[in-house]
Amino acid sequence: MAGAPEGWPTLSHLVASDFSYFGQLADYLERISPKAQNYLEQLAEDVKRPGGVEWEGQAGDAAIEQAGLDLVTARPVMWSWDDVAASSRRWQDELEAGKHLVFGAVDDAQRDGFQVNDDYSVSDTRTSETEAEFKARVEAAEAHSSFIRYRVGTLVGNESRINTTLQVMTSEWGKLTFRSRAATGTCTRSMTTGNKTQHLHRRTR
Amino acid sequence: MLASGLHQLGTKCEKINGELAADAVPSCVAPSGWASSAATANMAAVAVGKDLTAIAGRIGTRGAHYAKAGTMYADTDDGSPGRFRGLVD
Repeated sequence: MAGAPEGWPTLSHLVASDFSYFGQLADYLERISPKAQNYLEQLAEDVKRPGGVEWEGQAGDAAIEQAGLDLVTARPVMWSWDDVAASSRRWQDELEAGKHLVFGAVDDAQRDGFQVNDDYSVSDTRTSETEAEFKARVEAAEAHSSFIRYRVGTLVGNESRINTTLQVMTSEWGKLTFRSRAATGTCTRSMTTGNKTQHLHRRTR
Repeated sequence: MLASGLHQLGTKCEKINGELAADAVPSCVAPSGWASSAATANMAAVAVGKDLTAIAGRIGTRGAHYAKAGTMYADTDDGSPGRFRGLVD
């Protein structure tokens, strides 16, 4: 039987595979996301009453609005951290399960007296006494190899799908920027500029 | 007192900035291997660090402005709010 398709891990690579990087990513995101969200929410509240005294006037209004806008700007990014953290847990479980299914198929072949090679072909470790027995062993070898390859193919396909999904979910990461109120052209109330009063509307995100 | 309150807020922002900035270095380094998602996860962790750095920096900048506003409030008799708008824009 032909070797494993290009891009597939060999059996020894698969044995050495470890999908714990998804768990590590989830751990990291679950640690920083609530912390960053809580701080931004807390500051958006604290700025309304620094030291327990209400901050009145235009400076206070501007500061309160800006703190709120910072929260609104960062929230979608932080929420996407939560989504990826939850997905990462599932993906690790899914890939670990897929790996164990391959190992299960390998174990079945070995229990039947076949050696599973690195490219998922199998070799018979027993000597057939008759032509019929030999033919049956060849068929069994092909069946084991096909089943193992089917499970490896499923694992590789799932890993590829997960990778694409992760790429899409994280495509906007690393690009977070905050803009000033002047740049966003936003204001929740009338602002006096010189002798004119401008009425600006909150920008819809 | 608003002035001291703004200073307190500035100090708090400074602490938060430091804490988040310290967290912006992801500890997860994905191993290389046949699984392409390992490299993607690694890149994602680095990108998260950048976003967290941006958040930390924003909070730090705001904190500096609050502290500055507190100083200006303390230094003026009338506390004219128009003087401080630039600090928070």
